[in-house]
Amino acid sequence: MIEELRNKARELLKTKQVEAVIGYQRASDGLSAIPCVIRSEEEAGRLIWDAACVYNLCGYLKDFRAKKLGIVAKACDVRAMIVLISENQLNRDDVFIIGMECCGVVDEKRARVSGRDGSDISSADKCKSCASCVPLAYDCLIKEKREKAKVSEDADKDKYEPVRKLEAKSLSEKSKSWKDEFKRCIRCYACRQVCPMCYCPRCVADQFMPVWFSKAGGIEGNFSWNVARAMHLAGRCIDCGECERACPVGIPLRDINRKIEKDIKELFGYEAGMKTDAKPFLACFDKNDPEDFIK
Amino acid sequence: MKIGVFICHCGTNISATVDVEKVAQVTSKLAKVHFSTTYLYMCSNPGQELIKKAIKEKGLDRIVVCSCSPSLHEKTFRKCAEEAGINPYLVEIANIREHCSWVHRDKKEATLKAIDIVRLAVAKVSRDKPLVKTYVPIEKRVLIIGGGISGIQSAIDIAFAKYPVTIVERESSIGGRMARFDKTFPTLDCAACILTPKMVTVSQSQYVTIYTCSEIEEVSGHVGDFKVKIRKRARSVDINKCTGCGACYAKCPVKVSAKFDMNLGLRKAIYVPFPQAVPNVPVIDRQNCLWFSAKNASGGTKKACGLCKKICNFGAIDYDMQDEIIEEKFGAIIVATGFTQFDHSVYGEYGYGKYKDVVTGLHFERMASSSGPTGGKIIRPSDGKEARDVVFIQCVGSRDEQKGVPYCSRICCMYTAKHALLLKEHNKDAQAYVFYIDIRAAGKNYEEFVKKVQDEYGAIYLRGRVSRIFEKGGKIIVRGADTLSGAQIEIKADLVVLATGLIARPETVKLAQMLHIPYDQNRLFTEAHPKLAPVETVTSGIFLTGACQSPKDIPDSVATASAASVKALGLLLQDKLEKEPLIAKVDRNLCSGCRACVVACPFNAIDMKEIEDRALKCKRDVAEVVEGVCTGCGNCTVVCRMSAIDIEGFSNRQIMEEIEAL
Repeated sequence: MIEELRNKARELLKTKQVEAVIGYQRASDGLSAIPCVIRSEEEAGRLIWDAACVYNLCGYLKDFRAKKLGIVAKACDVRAMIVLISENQLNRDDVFIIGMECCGVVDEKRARVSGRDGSDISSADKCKSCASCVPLAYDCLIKEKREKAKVSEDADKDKYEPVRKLEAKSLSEKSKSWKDEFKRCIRCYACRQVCPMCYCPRCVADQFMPVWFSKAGGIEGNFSWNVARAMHLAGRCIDCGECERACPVGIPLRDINRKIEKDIKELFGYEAGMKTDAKPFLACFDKNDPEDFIK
Repeated sequence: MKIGVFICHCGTNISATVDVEKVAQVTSKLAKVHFSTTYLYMCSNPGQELIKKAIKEKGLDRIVVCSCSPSLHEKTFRKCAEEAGINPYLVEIANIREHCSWVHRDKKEATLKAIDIVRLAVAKVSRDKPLVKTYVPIEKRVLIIGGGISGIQSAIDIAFAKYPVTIVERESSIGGRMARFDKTFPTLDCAACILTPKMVTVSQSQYVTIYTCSEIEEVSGHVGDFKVKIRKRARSVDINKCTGCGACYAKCPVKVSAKFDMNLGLRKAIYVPFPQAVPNVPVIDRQNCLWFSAKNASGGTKKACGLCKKICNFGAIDYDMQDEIIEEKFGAIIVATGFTQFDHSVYGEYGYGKYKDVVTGLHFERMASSSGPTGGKIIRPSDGKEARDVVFIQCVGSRDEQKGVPYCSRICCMYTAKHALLLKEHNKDAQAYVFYIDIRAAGKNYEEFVKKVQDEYGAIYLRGRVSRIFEKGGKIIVRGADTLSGAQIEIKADLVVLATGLIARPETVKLAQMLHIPYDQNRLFTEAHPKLAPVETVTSGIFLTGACQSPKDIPDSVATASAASVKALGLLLQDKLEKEPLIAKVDRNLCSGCRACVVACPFNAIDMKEIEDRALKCKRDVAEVVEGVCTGCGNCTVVCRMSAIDIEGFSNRQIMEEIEAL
């Protein structure tokens, strides 16, 4: 599989179909994968592919606007690209998607704890609720040799079960637990920087006229920031889980994202990045939209 | 910054519940507030003078008027401020009447709330920016969609004012529904006699262009500058060469049932729908024409007909004619697309539309017409015998929430009364029975007309519903109840005429979406205000007339047609259009070009524009508001994650300032 990937990259660079290929290379720890940009055929040997390729690389596409690029992409990464294309941030013709059949990636944080042998490395939470190992769109597909029908055995189960558990809590319980979580937020904005959907030229958190919420690290400002971040992802989040992975204080950001994702799916039947021709969710109006919440 | 606060008593409307003096006293101490006072009626002339005087004497540079809803007097006070020399958009209204005094009883609490409302307005006014009105040019032409009586009347009115106007009509002739009618209530003028002179007037006018066999394909642009694509369907007859001699349809060998005559009569494959058609140029029905069916048949083994082409001395027949799409610009659009009939086949009690002798009012009109398919005889379509006992049933489809439409179609009571009268005039031995729910004859001389039909023409009016209709022994048996006498009624009728309701055409939805005008649950176009703006739509520059807005009779259609043309002319008479500056504005530095606002805008007022981004060293798209089209509704600001769009006068800074003041 890796050799196939490297050959494809070489071919793309040789035929000048792309200026560079964004992919993964082995980190100095010899185990994890980090992003790399391959600009010549000779470098293509650095490319790797395995369950350590956790990162969503779409964010880098924004830094190479209007250049023809190749990108190594899993199913979830491609969903992010579909959203970016629908939001006019990416030109489909500018990317060559090297689609990777994916059997799930590792839970990076737990892998670090469990050590280097990799024996009890479990797959990431996001993969447990993912049902598609083949990307929705690609220009070439590199197939998984291992026999595995789907990413996870749990995929058929109710993927929103953890969300439902959270919902079942009382209002005061929820309020308290989220306040406790957000109290720890240090406003480093890693969640924003890593998010493929956060591409605003100037984030609302950085605006001065008006100041939307306090920039100091108090609970109000933290609460506002985290809620604003989640709301700005409503109907756009493709659950790549990068925000949660990047968060240095371990706020379970995916829980918030997925609560919104679930509500939108159940109320409006909309899933971000699942259709290449979908309009931005919050900008659309349909006469049949449920409105029983208007009292 | 010197802010002036002017608090109105509104007689006792405000001062009875709000301690206005206290509001003045407290608000005068607010930061930036330089002056605060009260007056009995701030909107009165002395009240406005007081404001002007204070602005000049105290050197105020922005003002807050604490009074009624801004929808009532915001304009008044803006004008007042302008006259006193400050920008009219440096005025804020604190609504302490509808939002406070009218909805509260406790004076103490109401006063506190009023103070809060004023505080917010003061906060907002401090962030107000001076704005200037914008102007957009106007294309001095009007488009009328639909060439029925409404469209024709509008065209006549606009042409009279010497402005060019274009009628787009789907059928091959203008005239619409009215051309099919026999007589018109309550005066019994012959419909053709009063309509055809108007049709001739528009066709002769140098200011009127008529596109028949044409439909609207696409509409873009905005008030003063609508760009409209019109599809001219292939007529197969050259409108410039044809003289209307009629030789072609005399020779045409094909006979098919005529839609214009409600399929009661026949027409040729090349035809004019009725003798007075305008333009008097035939059209080829390509589905039934032998030439086209031979051409389309595989192998072309059939011999093509081509008789009309041979007979035409003017070379007007053109079998190769193709649809043509033309694009024109207009300053205003009048929608006059009319109505269609309710389909009564949903009613089992009326025979699901399967009995030939159960017809609709429009069938009756064609039969009553002397130029119609029966030559003015009221017959039974099943056997062609003259009808003697005729049952009329009202409210078919109308006022029926289950199977029909909830509204009253307004004209059926009157046209049924007219039919009952015409029946008697056409056949002295005939007898009309009318089943009705209520008689709604609210119009000039309408009630008198119905009374005359009952008294002088012997029409029997039965108040009740018909429960069943069935055929027996060549007669139509009508069973129903007369709820006034409580008797069960059974009538052996020759003919049953259903007063089917008026409904919107199903295609109206598509047109509404093209024009960006709203329609209601019955697919009738929605006026801007049911009382005060009945011919306007919320999209400026687009007006409504006739039955496409609600069921209307001829007098009402003509009245709204003239009203709509006055509104359109009012627009065209301006040198340029004044636009309120309270519209959306994009901050290009913040805009990511995600297009959410483009999708969300109900008015197509946002375009994308490519700019050179020096920071990113590349070209990128940003949103750009088309000033003439934006109404300032604010949808775009809501979907903009970057907060890159602001509504002038309601900017994010102003709103945040208000929130912080609270």
